[in-house]
This record gives sequence, structure tokens and C-alpha cells, in this order.
Amino acid sequence: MKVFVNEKEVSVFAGACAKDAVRQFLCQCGEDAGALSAFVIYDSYGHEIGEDSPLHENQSITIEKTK
Amino acid sequence: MRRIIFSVLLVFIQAQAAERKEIHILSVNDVHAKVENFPQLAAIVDSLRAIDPQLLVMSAGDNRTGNPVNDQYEPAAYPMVALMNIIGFDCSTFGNHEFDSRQAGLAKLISLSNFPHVCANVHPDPSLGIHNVPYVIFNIDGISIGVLGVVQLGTRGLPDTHPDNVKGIRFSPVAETIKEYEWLAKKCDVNILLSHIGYEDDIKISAQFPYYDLIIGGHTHTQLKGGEMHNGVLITQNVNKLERVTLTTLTVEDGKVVGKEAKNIEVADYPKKNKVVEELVRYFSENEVFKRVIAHADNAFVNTEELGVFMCDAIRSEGDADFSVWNVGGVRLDSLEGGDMTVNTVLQLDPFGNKCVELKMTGAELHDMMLSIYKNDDKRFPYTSSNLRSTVYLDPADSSKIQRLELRDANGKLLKKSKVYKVVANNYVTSINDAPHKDAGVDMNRLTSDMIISFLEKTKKIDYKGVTCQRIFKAQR
Repeated sequence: MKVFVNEKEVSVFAGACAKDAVRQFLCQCGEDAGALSAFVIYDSYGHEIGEDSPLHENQSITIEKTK
Repeated sequence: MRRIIFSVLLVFIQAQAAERKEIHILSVNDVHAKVENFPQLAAIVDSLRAIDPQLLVMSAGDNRTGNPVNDQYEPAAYPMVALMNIIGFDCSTFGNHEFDSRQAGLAKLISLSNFPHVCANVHPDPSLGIHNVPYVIFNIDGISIGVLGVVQLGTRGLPDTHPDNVKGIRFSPVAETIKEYEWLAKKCDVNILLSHIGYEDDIKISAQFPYYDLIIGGHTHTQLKGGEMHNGVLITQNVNKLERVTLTTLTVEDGKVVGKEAKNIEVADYPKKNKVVEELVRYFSENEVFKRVIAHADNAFVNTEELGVFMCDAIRSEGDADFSVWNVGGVRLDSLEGGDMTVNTVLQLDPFGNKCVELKMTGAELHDMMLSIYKNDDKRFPYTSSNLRSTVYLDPADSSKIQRLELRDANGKLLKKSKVYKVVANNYVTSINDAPHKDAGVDMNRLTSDMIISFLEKTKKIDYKGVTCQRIFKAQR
């Protein structure tokens, strides 16, 4: 399915969670996929969501590095 | 926390003076069997009940799945039920993961629960013995509180679980179901939707059915600051694994809710623990079930490759696939003694709760995936099932780069570039593959650790001495 991370489209398997999309995004950006824990994940409303949060088609999430 | 309790007490006394009634609700969602936080949760409930003995405690579903202490217990997921019983939960709705118990397991768990499972859009065949109820009505000092439960449905009209888990159960659309219970809202003074449909859908429901006073939400693990008002409806939800709970106070006057307030309470850092619940958690954690022997290894596994190939073979067999792939870092033991293999052995090998993903890939796509995983996994070449042999030629100019890769089947034949194969892999492998592939894959709704346990239970005896799946050469200049 297609989802958006920081407005960039990424393709993930059906049933993927937020962490799967973030890892895919990091790989596409040439960053370390293992650095997942260094990021906070937000939904399109700006609420923090858990890394196991289920995603749906066309969902938008954003990530920010923790300080 | 002490401040919260004092402020609740103060408001409680004020409310009495004004002849108002206050309803206090403590809610959890998506606990995913984080039993380690239950001693703190129990202490929070104890403190609040000391102030308001009529405190209602509710769960918005997904109580299970995510902790082998709970999920591998016999009966599966019983520890969560026992802990919710001892705390005195008043009700829970179904999350999609409640169905991971399968039909018979869910029926048993409900029969062992001291609280009702409230879910209006789930209609099991009576022969399954799954006794959920659509709603419950609580009565607190003459105030009727109606609670209707609903669970999310995916694109196929089923909750997100393996389809086999819900055979014999009919599901009705969420909004349609809620509409059917408008009469309940008219009957009750206070109306609560106990919802496992996710935050965005909770907002939509609040617009469609603004007569709800409160939606206690779950599913999307959305961290709200206390509660959020949408269309006059208060919506609450927390991230998963019992990091926080929500204490909601509804003020009722003349049969109407005139005030709503919700606060988060941190659970993990709560300074008190209920000792009885702590002891029960310890009992469950040290259970003999983890020592259960499920197979015998004739010889020791002397390196991670032997273990990796074994794990790949297990998910390939369970997933009925042509090939399987596993990342090196996903094998969490360096070696393993021969002899008895227990449930605990598998959980040490594969402790991440990874899901298994199925993909249809051409030989060319699989080839490119292997290279992509190498690139994105610290230059470590992934393991495969024993029927897939990788020969890797490193670039003589830069040994961190792969110059050429050959993939051969069990007969030593090169995989055909255009032939489509069924491949299974854990979700980590799938999510770090950024090579183009037509089929994005689908979650099989099975944990890889569960598949390995199932494989061992069927196979009984294994031997991976000297088994390899890859040869790595430094190419000559």
C-alpha cells in the first residue's frame, strides 16, 4: 500500500505499521533504518503515535528526530 | 499523581454540594499484554477507588498480542484476563487482535473473564460459544451509563487478523451498527462509545453521532493530551503498551452531561505497585510453559548462519513459500547447544515480535532485494532458506560492495529472472528493501516466532550441522 512519510510517498506491505513505513523512508533517504528509535512519529493531526500503530492506504505520517 | 487524586477529591466534594454527580472512568487501550505495568495500573485503580468506589474501568481493546508471557500461555492470553479480573475491569471491547486467539480461544477467554466483552458489530455463530454483548448499561446513583462497543473492519470487511481466525463470525459496518443503537442513547443519561476503530474514524463518528458524550478510542495508538473535543464529543486515546491511561470525569446534572474532563496518568513511572498483582505477574512470567520441550536438535548450531537457515526454513515451511529471507541482525543467538529446544529457545532466537510478510517476486526482484538488504543492513548479507543458495562476489576494489550475486535453487540452477516465486520474510526485511518490486506484499497475520514454534512442534527433530546458504568470495582484479 501507498503511504506518505514527511510528504514522501513510500510503498509498504498491506498491514504494515508506522515503523515499517519509517524504515522504508529512511532507507530511501540513504539513512540508517536501525535509527528508528531516534524518531518520534506523528499522525496527520500532529499527535504522537506508537511505532506499532497500524497504517492504512494513503495515510500521512511525519517523523522528527528526538532532541 | 497525588495532585490529581486531591483535585479529583476536591471536585468530588464540590459536586456533592451542588447536587451534581460525577462519573469517573479510567480507560486503557491497546495494552498488547504489557503485563509488566499491571502492578502500577492496579495501584492507580486502588488509589482512585479509595476516592470513588464507583470508578468504572474500561479497555478499548487489543488487550493481547505483543508479549509471549501472555500469548504463549496455556490457555493463550489468559494472563491478561486474570490481571484484568483482579483489577476489576468493568468491560472491554474487542480489538482486532482479540481474534488472534482464534474462535475457541476467544470463547474460552470470554468465559474466564469477570467482565463483559462489549462489541455490537461482531456476530459470532452461536455454535462458536463466543458470548460478547453489544452494549452494557451501568447505573451509578441513579444515572444510567450506556456503553456501546465497536471494532475496526479492514478493506475486506474483517478485523485485521488472519481470516481463518474469524470464520463463522459475521461483522457489520461500524456506522451502520451505531445507528441501530440510537435507541440506547435515548434511553441512557450518559453515552459512551468504546471504540477500537482508530482516531480518524472516531472523529468521523463524532460528526455522525454527536449525541455521544465520550468516545474511548483505540487501535491507532494515538497519544492525545487528555481528551480532545470533536463535534461536542470528548475523544480519548493513548499510545500502546500501557504507557499511559486516561482518567475521564463526566459531570452529570438533571440527567445530562454538563462537564467533561480527561487527564493522562503515567503508568510505568507510577511510584506505587499493587503487591498482589506484582506477584501474579511474576508467577505468569516464570511459567513452566516456556520450558516446554517442542523439538530436539541432534547437533549444536555453531554459528548464526546455521540458526538463520533454520529460522528461514521454519517460516518457509509454515508460510508454504518457495523461499524465505531473514536479516542477520534478526538472529539473536550466536550459537545454540544441541538437545532439547523449548518455547523459550525460540523466543530468545526471535524476540522482536516480528510479523511474517508474503510477497510474490520475480527472480530478478528477489535478486535485487537481497542486494538492497545488504546495502541497508550494515553490509550484512541476509540468510535464506536452505533451498536457496547465494553466491556473492565482492568488488575487489571495495570489499564492502557486491560486484555480482548469483541465486540458485536446491538443484543448483540459477533462478529465472522472470519467474514469479512466493517469498516470505519478516517485516524488518520487507521494510528495508527499497529495490523496486511490483508486489508490495501482505502481512500474513502471524508472528515469525509463532511460526517457528509451530514448525518445531511438527518437525520434532532437526539437524543443521554444516548447513549454509551463502558463499562469499572476494573477486579477483
